[in-house]
Amino acid sequence: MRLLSATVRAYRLHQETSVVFDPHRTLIGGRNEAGKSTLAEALHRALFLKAKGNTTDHRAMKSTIHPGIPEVELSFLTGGVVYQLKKRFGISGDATLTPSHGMTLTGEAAETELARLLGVEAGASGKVAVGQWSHLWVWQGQSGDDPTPHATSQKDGLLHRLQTLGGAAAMQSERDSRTAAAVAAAYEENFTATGKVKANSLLAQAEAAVEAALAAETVARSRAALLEESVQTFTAAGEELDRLGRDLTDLSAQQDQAIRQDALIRQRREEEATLINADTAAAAGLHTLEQQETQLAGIRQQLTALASELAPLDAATETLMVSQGAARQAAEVAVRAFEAASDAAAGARQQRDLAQSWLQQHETAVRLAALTQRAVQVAEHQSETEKLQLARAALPPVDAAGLAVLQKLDTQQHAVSAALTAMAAGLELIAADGPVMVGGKPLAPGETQILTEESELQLGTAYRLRIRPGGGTSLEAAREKERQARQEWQTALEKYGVRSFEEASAITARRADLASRIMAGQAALKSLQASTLPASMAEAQVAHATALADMARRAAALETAPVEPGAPTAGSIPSPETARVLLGETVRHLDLAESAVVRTKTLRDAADRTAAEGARALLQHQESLRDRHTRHTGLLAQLDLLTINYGDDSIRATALQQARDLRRVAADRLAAIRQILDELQPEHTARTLQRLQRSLEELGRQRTAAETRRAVAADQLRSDGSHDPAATLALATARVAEATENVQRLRRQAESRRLLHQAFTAEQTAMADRFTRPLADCISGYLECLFGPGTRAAVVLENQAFTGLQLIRPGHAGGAVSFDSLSGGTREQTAAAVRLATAEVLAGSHGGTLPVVFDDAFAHSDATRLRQLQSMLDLAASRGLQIILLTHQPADYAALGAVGITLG
Amino acid sequence: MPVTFLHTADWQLGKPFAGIADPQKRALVQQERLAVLDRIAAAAQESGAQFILVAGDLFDSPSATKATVAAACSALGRMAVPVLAIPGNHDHGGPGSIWEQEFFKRECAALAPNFRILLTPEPVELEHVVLFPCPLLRRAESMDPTAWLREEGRFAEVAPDKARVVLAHGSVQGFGGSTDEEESPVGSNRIDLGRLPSGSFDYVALGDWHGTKAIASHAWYSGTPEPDRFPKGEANEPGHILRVTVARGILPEVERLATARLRWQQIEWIFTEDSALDALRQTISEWLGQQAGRDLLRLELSGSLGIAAGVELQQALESWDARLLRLKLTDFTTTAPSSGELAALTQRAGDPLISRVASQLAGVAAGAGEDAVIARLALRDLYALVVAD
Repeated sequence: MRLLSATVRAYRLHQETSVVFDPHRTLIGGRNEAGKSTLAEALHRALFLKAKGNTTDHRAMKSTIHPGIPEVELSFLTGGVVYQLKKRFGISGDATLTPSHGMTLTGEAAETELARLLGVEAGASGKVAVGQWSHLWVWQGQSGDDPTPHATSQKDGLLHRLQTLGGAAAMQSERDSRTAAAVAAAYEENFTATGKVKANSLLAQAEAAVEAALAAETVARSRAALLEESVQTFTAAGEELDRLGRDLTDLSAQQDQAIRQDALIRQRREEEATLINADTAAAAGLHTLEQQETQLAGIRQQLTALASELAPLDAATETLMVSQGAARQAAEVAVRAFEAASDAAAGARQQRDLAQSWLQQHETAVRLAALTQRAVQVAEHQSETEKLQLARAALPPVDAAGLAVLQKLDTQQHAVSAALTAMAAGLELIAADGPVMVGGKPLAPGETQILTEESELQLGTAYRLRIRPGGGTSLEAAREKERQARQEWQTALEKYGVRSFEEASAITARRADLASRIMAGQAALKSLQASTLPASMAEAQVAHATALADMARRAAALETAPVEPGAPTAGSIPSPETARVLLGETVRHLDLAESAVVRTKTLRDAADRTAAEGARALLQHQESLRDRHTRHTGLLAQLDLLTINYGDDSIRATALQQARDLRRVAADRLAAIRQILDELQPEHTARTLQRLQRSLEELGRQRTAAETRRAVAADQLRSDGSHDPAATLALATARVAEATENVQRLRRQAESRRLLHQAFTAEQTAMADRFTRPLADCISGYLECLFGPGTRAAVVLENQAFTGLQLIRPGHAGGAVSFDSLSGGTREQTAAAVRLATAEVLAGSHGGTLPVVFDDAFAHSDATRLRQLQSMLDLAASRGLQIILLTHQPADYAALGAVGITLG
Repeated sequence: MPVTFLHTADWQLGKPFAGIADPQKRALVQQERLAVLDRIAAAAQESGAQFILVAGDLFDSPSATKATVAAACSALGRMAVPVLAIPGNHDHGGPGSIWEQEFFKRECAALAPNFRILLTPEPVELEHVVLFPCPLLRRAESMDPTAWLREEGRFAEVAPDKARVVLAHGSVQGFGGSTDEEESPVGSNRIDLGRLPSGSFDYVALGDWHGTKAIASHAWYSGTPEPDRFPKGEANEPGHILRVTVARGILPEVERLATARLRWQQIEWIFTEDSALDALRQTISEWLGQQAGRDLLRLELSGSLGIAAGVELQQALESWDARLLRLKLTDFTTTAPSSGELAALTQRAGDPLISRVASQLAGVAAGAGEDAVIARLALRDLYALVVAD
C-alpha cells in the first residue's frame, strides 16, 4: 500500500492543502504551526476514522478560521489498484471510495472496503481507530516510546508474515502448548517461581515427615538407651556391692585384731602410769633432800662473802668523813666573799640613783617654766577675744541675711508707692480765699496733695467737692499693696532694731569686722594649745614634785650608806652638767661591783655543790655498810635454824643416800614396762585403727552410693508396661526408613518434573528465538546503519506478545542494554529501526510496501546521528517502504534524496 | 520310662514388625504369634505330651508390654500341661527383665499357674525327667551357657533313672551360620555341645535358630512355630514344633509338627522384556491365589521395562501391596522407553516442542547415574501426558 496524493480542506488551519507523495521518499517541510502534524493526522484519520461521527476526534478537525466541513481526499495504491478516497467528517459526514477500475463505494460500504484493503477491523472508532497502524505513524513527541507494544498490536499480521518467512517449523502446536502447560503445572506443584520447594507441597510435607520421624526415633533411642544404661548401672552396682561386701568383711577382721592389740596396749599403759607415779614420788623425795643441802651450802657461801666485803668498807668510812669537813669550810669562805661583793654593789647602785634623780629634777623644772610662760600668753589672747565678743553682742541683730531682706522690702515699698502715685490725683492749691479742706485736713496754698482715695474737698463752707481719683478698683488694690509694703517694711525694721536701711548696712559692716578679729584671737589660742595647757601644766607640776621627792628619798638613803671617795653626797644639788658627769661615774662603779657579785656567787655555788656531794657519798657509804652488817646477822640466824630443822650433816647424808637408791629402783621398773610397750607398737596400732575406721567408713559410703544407684536403676527398670522401648525404637526406625524412602521417591519425581519443565522452557525459548529471528534480523539491519556493523536487537515473543527489546552493540561494556535504559536520542532511533523493520515484515501483506510517517520524530538526535538516520531511512525506502518525513528543519535531511514539499 | 513332651522356642511375643507400615496389617501379624499358641496347645493334647519346653525367647523383648504379657499368660494357661521355659537373648533374665516384673508375676499366677520360668542353672527334677536349664541372664553372654554341665559325673546322683534333657538358647559351635538372624552380636551365646560329657544327656532342646534343625540325633532346634521373617534359604524351615519322646540312655524320637499359618515368600525376578511382567503376574497369582491378608512377600526386581510396562508394573505392585500383609520391595528395574515409545515421543512432526524435548531427555536417559534415572522418570511422565492428551 502506497500513498499517492492527498488534499486536505477546512481541516483546522488547512483551508486547502494538496501534496503529492513520492513513491519512496517524501520530505514535507514547513515552519512551526504550518500544519505538518495536522496533515499527518488528516492522512491517518482519512484511512482509519469513520467519516460519520461526532467524536472528540471529529470535532477536533473543525477549522476555526476556515468555513466548511473537514474534508480529506486521499489517493493510494494497493494490490495494483489506485483508489480515490474522499471523506467529509462530521455528524453528516460521508465517505466515498473509488477504485481506478470499478464502482465507487459510498458510506458504510466504502468504510468496510477501505478497512479490508488496509487489513484492519471495520467500523472502528474512538481509540481503536486512532490507534490503527500506530507502528507506521510516528507522532510528534512519541518517537521515543517502546515500539514493541505497537508490534504486538500487529502480532497477527506479524506472526503470519514470520511464519511465511520460514518460521512455521518453529511454531509449537496446540498439543505442545497443552503439554508444556501440564508440565509447568506439575512443576509448580512442588516448586516456587524461584525454584525452591514450595511450602505444603507433597515434597515439603515428606521432608517434614522425615524430620518428625527422625525426632521420634531420637526420643525412642534415648529411652531405649536409658533402659540399657539402667541395666548396666544395676549390674555394675550389684558387682560393686559384692566387692564392697568382701572388702568390708576383710577390713572388719583386721579391725577386730587391731582392737585386741589396742586393749593390750591400754593395759600396759595403766601399768606404766603406776610406775611413773612411784618414780615421780622417789624423785620428789630425793629432790627435797638435795634442795636442803643446796640451801645450807648457799647460806654458808653468802656468810663467807659478806665477811670479806665488810673490812675494806669500814676503812673507807674514815676517809670520806675527812673530805667532807674540808669541803664544808671552803663553802663558808665563799659565802662571805659573795656577801661583801653584794654590799658594794648596793652602795654603787644608790649613788647612781641619786645622780639620776638630780638630772630628773632639773628636767622637770625646765618644762614647768616653759609651760608657765605659755599660760601668760594664753590669758592675754583670751581677754582680748572676750572683749570683741561683747562688742559684737551689743550690736542690733542685723546681719548680711537681714540686710538682704531689708533691701528687698525697701525696693518693694518704693515700687508699690510709685504705682499708687501714678494712679492718684494730684491736687495743688495755688491760691484760695478761704480754707480749703481736703479729707477734713486743710490744704495750704502752694501745697500739693496726692489723693489716692476718694476724698472730700471743702472750699470754704459753701463748697464741698468729692474727688475720686482714676483707676477704679485698681487704685484701691494699689493702695492696699502700698499699705502692706509699708507695714512689712516697718515690721522688718523693728525686727532688726534699726531705723533705716543705711543704718542696717553700717551695723552689718561693723559685725563683719568684729567677727574677723575674734577669729584671729581664736587662731592664736589654738596655736598655743590653750585647750591642753592646763593638763600639761598639772602634769609638769606633778613630775617636778615627784622628782624632788625622789631626789630627797635617794639623798636620805645615801646618808645611811658607805660612800666611796668622790661619790655624790646628799649635801647639795649639783648643776645639771655636774649631775650628768657624776651619773656616768656612778654607772661605771656599779658595773664593776655587779661583776664582782657574779664571780663570788659562782665560787660560792661550786663550794656548796662539793660539800653537798661529799655529804651524800658519806651517807650512802654508811647505809651500805649498815645493810651488809644486817644481812650477815640474818644469815647466821638462818643457818642455825636450818641445822635444827634438817639435822646435822651426818643425819642428812644418810637420808640422801637412801632416797637415791629408791629412785634408781623405780626408774628401772619404768624402763622395763616401756620397752614392752614399744614392742607392742602403740602408735602403729592407733594409726591402724584409724586407717581401718576410715576405710570402713569409706566403704560404707560406697556401699550406700552403690545401693542408691542400684535402687535408682531398679526403679528405672521397673516397667510400667505401657510400652516396649525396644519395639518403640524399632517402629520409629522403620518410620524413618519409610519417610526417607518416600522423600527420596518424591525428590526424584520432583526433579524429573523440574527437568521436564526446564527442557520445555528452554526449548520454547529457543523456538521463539528462531521464530522471531527474521524480525530481529530486519531490525539489526537498520540498527547497523545507526550504530555500525554487528549491532543487533533482541526481542522476545512471549505469551503472544513482543517484549524485552534490547540493544546489543559490540564493544560496549555491559553487553545488552534494555530499551528503557537507552538515552533519549538512541531510544527514538532504535524505535524507528523497530518500526521500519515491523513495516518491512508486514509490507509483504500489503503489496510489498507500506507508508511510514515520521512527524518530527528525531528531535533528540544530533547532526552526526541524523546523517546515519538518513542512511537508515534510505535503506527502508530501498527495501520498498514509503518514507514520509515531516520536519520543521528540512535542511537536516538534505542527504536523504527525498522529494521536498513545503507547507505554508 | 519314656516320656513325651513338646519342644518349641522363639515365640517372640510382642515383636513389633516395624517393617510393616500399615498398622492394621502389623496388628494381624502380631496377633498371629499369639494364635499359634493355641495350635501348640492343641498339638500337646493330640500328641499326649506331658509338658512343653520353651527353649528361650518366649517374648521378643525383656520389656514387653502388659498387654503382651497378659495375652501370653492367657495362652499359656490354656495349654493344660506344664510349660517350662528358659529366658533367651530377647527376653533374658537380667536386671529389669520381664520375669521379675510384678505385673508378670501376678498375671502368671492368675492365668498360667502351669508355667514356670527357669532362671537358675540347676537341675529341675520332674516326674519322669530331669531338666538341665541353661538360662541366658543377659542379652549377650560371652560364656557358654551350658558350661556348668561339662563336669563328668557331677550329676550322677541326680535321679539316675530319669531321662535328662538340656534346655539351652544360643548358637551351636560348628553349625555354620547358626546365629539368630540379625540381632545377636557375633561371638555371644555360643554353645559347644561337643564339650558336654558323652552320654550324660538324652536330649538337648535348643532355641534361637528360627528354622527347624537337627544338630545331632539328640540335639534339635525346634525353630519358631510361626515364621516371623522372610526365609534365609532352602534349608531354613520355620513354622514347626517338635514332639519328642525320651528315656534315659536311648536315642530320642523326634517328630516335626507344622504349626505355621502365615506364608513368608521371597521372589527374585529379572525383566528381560516387557512380556516378563505378565509372567511375574502369573507366578504371583498362582502363589497368592484369591487370598488376602495371609501372606508376606519379599520381591526383588531388576532388569528393564518400557514405559507402558513400567506403568503396568506400578499398578500391579499397588494391587499386591494391598492384598499382602507385607510387600517388601527391592526394585532395581530400569523403566526406559521402548524404541516404539521413544519414536512416539521424538518423531512428532506436528508437535515439534514435544519432539525436541523428548529427544533431549532420551539422550540423557541413555546414560548412567542419577541424571539418567531422573531423565527416564521425566520421559515416563512426558509419555503419560502425551498418551493421556
